[in-house]
Order: sequence, then structure tokens, then C-alpha cells
Amino acid sequence: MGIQVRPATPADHPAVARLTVEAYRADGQLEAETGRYADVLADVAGRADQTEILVAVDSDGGADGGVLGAVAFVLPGSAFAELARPGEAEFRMLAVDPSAQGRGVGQALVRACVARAREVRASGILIFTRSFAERAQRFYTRMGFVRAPEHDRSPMPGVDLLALHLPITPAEV
Amino acid sequence: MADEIRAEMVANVWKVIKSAGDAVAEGDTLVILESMKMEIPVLAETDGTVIEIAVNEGDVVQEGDLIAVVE
Repeated sequence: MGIQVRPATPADHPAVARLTVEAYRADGQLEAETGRYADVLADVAGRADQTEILVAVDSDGGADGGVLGAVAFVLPGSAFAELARPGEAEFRMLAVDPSAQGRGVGQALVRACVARAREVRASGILIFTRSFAERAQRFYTRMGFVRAPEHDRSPMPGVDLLALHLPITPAEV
Repeated sequence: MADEIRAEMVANVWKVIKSAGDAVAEGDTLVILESMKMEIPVLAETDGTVIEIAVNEGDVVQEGDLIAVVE
């Protein structure tokens, strides 16, 4: 199975909505304290103009056009930006279809975000994880992210967000 | 008595549900915010009429910013 990451098109939105909600639900991130966040996750068109939605697709095709995972790459100034200061980048709503996890899909999506961050000359890239999402934290740590506790937020009881940061080195010339 | 409803945290205005002139009951959703991996409804705190919705979809609100006025 080859994995290719490309910008999403409107035709991908239903698949992105479905797999993002399923991945969040499978990870226990859609409990009562987050409200109807599934509706936000499913509104792919509603973030398509303020973020860059990237999809990972199986080059062999398959259900949903082979879409296996998705992420929203975000720059400062977007309404969806929560962490990035000027000169930085972030990503949100990284999700891999539960049936496709463990195959490097998430890594391919994060690498694509890092590449975009490098293209726009960002000095670093940031991500929030839920405090209980230890698998996600290990995943980002393996990819070189380090904890950035100065960005941590606890917007309400039961929702504790841990920030991670990856410095971006300029492309070699 | 006018009731000013303000943002409790930095958030992205995801959906505007009600408009100026709409009649609302206590607990009705006026606006839906999105922030910090949560969906946050902004509710009318009294029965009345929406005088103003001070935000648009895609706006970013800071803590304390006016979202709506209900009278």
C-alpha cells in the first residue's frame, strides 16, 4: 500500500468528515464535556477556507476514494489558529481512519504539514493533544516534537490540553 | 433589561444561529463557538428578543468580547 498526501478537494470532504469523527470517537475525544464537537469535525467545508486540508490516500484506491486520513494545516490569522504565533504554524484535527491506523498514515500527514511549514518559512509547528491521549503524545514525540508546557491550556474542567512543538529547520539549499 | 452575552474564552465563531429581531427563550443557542477541541454553544440567558449579534461566522473572539445582546 502506497500512501500519498495531497490537498483535499470538495469530493474528499465526506470521507474526511466520516473518518475524523470516527477517529476522535474511537480515541474517547467526543465525550460530553466537548459538546457536539463531532458536528464541528464533520463540517469540513466550514474549515476548508481557513485551513489547508490535506488528505492521505491509498495509491491503490479503495473505499471513499482511498482516503485514509486527514489533517488541517493552520497558519496564524486563521480563525482555527490556537497556538501559532506570527512566524509559526500549527495543525489540527489530525485523524486516521481507525481501520488504517498503525500503517504510517499519520506520520505521512505530519510530515506533509512540516513540509508546508518549511515552505512558508515557519520557525516551528505546534499541536495540542488531550491530556489522556498518551498514544498521540508518544507518536508526536517519536516524530521529534517536544512538550511546550507554556502553551498548555485547561479551558474547562475535564479538558486539559498539552502542547507540543517541533522546531523547523530551513530547507537545505 | 438588555443582557449582554460575552465570550468566556478565545474561540472561533463556528455558526451563527440567531439573528437580530429573533424571539428567543432562555437556553436557546444564539451562536456556536469552536475552540480547544470543544464545541461551545452560547445560550440566551433570558427570554426576549435578540437586539444584536455582534459576531460573524469565521470571526475570532477574545475573552470578554461581546457576542450578543438579548432584551
